[in-house]
Formats: sequence, structure tokens, C-alpha cells
Amino acid sequence: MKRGVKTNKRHSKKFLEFYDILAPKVYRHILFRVNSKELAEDITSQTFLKTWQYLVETAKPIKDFRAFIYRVCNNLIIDYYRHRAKEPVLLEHDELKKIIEPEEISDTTYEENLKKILKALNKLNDEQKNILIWRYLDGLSIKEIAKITNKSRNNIYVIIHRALKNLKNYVAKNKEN
Amino acid sequence: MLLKIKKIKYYLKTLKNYPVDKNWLLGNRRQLEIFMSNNPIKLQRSTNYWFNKFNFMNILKTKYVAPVLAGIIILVLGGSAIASQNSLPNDNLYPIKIAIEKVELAIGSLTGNNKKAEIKLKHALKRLEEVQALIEEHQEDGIVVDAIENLEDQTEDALEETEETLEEENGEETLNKKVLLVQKLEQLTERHQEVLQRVYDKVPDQAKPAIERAIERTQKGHQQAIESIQKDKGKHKGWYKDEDEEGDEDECETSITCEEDQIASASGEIDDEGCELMICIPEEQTATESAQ
Repeated sequence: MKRGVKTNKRHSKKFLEFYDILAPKVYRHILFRVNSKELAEDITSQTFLKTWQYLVETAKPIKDFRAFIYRVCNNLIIDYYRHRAKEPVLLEHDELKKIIEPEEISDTTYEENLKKILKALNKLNDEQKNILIWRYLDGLSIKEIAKITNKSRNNIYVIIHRALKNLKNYVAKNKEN
Repeated sequence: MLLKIKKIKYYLKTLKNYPVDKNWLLGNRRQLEIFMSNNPIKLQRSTNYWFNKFNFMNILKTKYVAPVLAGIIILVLGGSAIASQNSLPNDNLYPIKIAIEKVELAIGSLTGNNKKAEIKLKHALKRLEEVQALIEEHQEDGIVVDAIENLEDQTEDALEETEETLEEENGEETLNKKVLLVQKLEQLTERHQEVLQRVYDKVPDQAKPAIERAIERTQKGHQQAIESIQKDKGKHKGWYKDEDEEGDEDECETSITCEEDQIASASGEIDDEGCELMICIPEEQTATESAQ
């Protein structure tokens, strides 16, 4: 009994440590996919609750926690859109200002370009958008993305390549307009 | 001006800096904590439980079991097991090397005493040597990228295991072993930085982010390990001679910032505080000096 309680405490501690590290990342990931702060907060908290629930129900360890968390949040986002039509919303202008600007880029071009890239990102299909967010915003490896999406590594390389090309074209078109 | 793909990637990466409301994170953490305490995990009996239950199984936990079993495996598999030790990811014998490593790890987890972390660190070092060998052999990009990602995974695994081992609360006796473990981690980190920085320019572009992540991760892991040991040292004061007590060496500034084509070097001159002065010298000069 004593041993069980001790191990349970250890599990909770470890889980909260994972929360501290992953919650901001998961939140950003969801935010740039759904473009709504409230929704991102809601899905982030559900992601962690569902993961704990999974641990309670199965009592099995999760081998790759990060990949597992992203898979749960991906399913929750898909579930959300299944029940309601997707609305093309963009993050508020002021919100983007909050991103700490890299020193080497001057204020105006940075904000302007970022806005264009985000607009173009929303024009990509869901698969391309998600994979780009995983790769560059979340910093996941190709192997991890392959694991989450159940695709081969080569497939992921190709999707990233095409997505970047499309993104570049959309940004260019936007500039011409 | 058109945005190049490289620039687009750069912009996407800056989204990592998007601020998250800390109060919300904290509030949500509290809710999660409440949920977790109301829904505890009902643990299944682990394999260790059965090892503890039957005393005769404890024989397997002696320190002799690893070398004995390794000897048996070598006898059974014969020369191929030994030959496989120098194999690379694209060799036919490579799967045997990996299989032997898995057996070694399984035995290590039975013998306990930080062994698992130590073995994983050793294996991560092997992956590093493989990456280096593949690059020197000018192997195909695909093989090198796979090997680097494999290295990244194994390093992450080894660091997690080390962090977990260091976190476990134990007495002074195990602290000694922990210090040894950190020293091993230090070796891996140094070798990691050295090799990865050397091969960085030679690897395919798609493998570069993995290398950057691996360098960053080992640095962080090393720092955490040192912090963890420092904490333990605080708990068991007197057991470990503090570095500061050994001399004034640590108070000297040994790192200075140099230009890209220059490197830091000791000048041989001693200042008022008894520290050797560091100077920046051109790389070419060091190359000629070492050639002489």
C-alpha cells in the first residue's frame, strides 16, 4: 500500500513536470492551428486531462510522452472541427506584436512579413499546416511527426517540402496584390 | 523583395516566442492537480515485484550476472557478435550489435545501481561514433540523416534515464555513484559537442536542426545533472570536498569572446590575482604551431 502511494506520487510529480515543459508548447501549437485564444486554452487543458485519464484507465506507461500529447491534442482539434464548420479566423494584429522580435529584423518588416506568412499558413491544407507547425514551431523531429501522423519519414519530408513551396507562393501572391 | 524558403522557416521558428499567459498556465495546473488527486493511477504489479517476491530470482541481481551472461552470448553467437561491434548502420552485422546492446541493457536493469543510465550513455556515445564514421566514409545522405536522428533519440533517452537516476533520493553511498555517473555524462557531452560541431558543415541540410537540437539538449542535460549533484552535495555536506576549497583556480576567468577566425588561448602571462591571462589568436597561427 505504502509503495503504491509513493509510486503514485512520483507519477503525479513527473506528470506535472511534463505539464510545465509541454503546456506552453501545446498551447502555441493549438493556437496557431485554431486561431482562437479561448479555444486553445480549452483544448490544452483537455489534452492533459485526457492523457491523465488514459493513464488511470490503462495503468500503462507512455513511451514517448511528447508524441502522445501531440496526438491527443490533434484528435481533440479534429473532434472540435467535426462538430462545427471551420471558420477562417486570423489572430489579432496586437497579438502578433507580443512575439519578441529578433533584433536583426527591423520592426516594420518583421511584423508585416509574419502577418503575411500566417495568412498564407491558413491557406495551406490541414495536413501541410499541421506538419509545418510541428516541425518549426514545436521543433519535433521528422521521426516524431511520422509517429504522430502514422506516415513514413519520406512522406513527411515530401509534405514539408511541398508545404514550404506553397507557403512561399502564397506569400509572393499576397505581395503582388 | 520575395521571401526565401529559408527566411520563411526562420519566421515560423520565431512563433516559438509567442507569450503564453502564465496565470492561466498556473491556474490550469492547479485544476489538473485536483483532477489527478481525485483520479489516482491504480498501479499494476511491475516485473520488479515478482523479482522481489521470489528470493531465488535475486541471484540474478548480483554484480557477476552481467559479465557471465555477456560471455554466454558471445560463446553462443561466436565471432559475429565480436565482429558486429565495429559495424555501422548500413552493415549486415549492425542488427546483431543493436541486439547485443539490448541484452546488455536488460541485464543492466536487473543489476540496478545506476547501471541502466550508464549503459544508455555508453550506447549514445557509440551512436555518436557511428555518425562520425558514416560522415568520414561519405555515406549517402539518407543513411547519415537516419543515424543522426537515431543519435538524437538515444541521447535523449540516455539523458532522461540519467536525470531520473539523479533525481532518486538516496543516501551518501549512492551519491558517490551519482558523481561517477555525472562524470560519464560529462565525457559524453564533451565528445558530443566536439564531434557534432566538427561534422556540422558536412552533414546534409535536413540533418542540421537535429544536430542543433542534440547539442542544445546535451548541454542542458549536463547542466541539470550538475545542478542535481550540487543539491545532493548540500544534503550530505562534508562528504564531497568542495571545489572551491581545493584552490583558487576556479576564480580565474578562462573564457573570453574572440572573433570568428580567432580562438582563445593561454598567453603564459600571470596577472596580479595569479590567473593566467587569456588572449585571442588567429586560427592559422595555432595550426602552424601545432604542425611545428
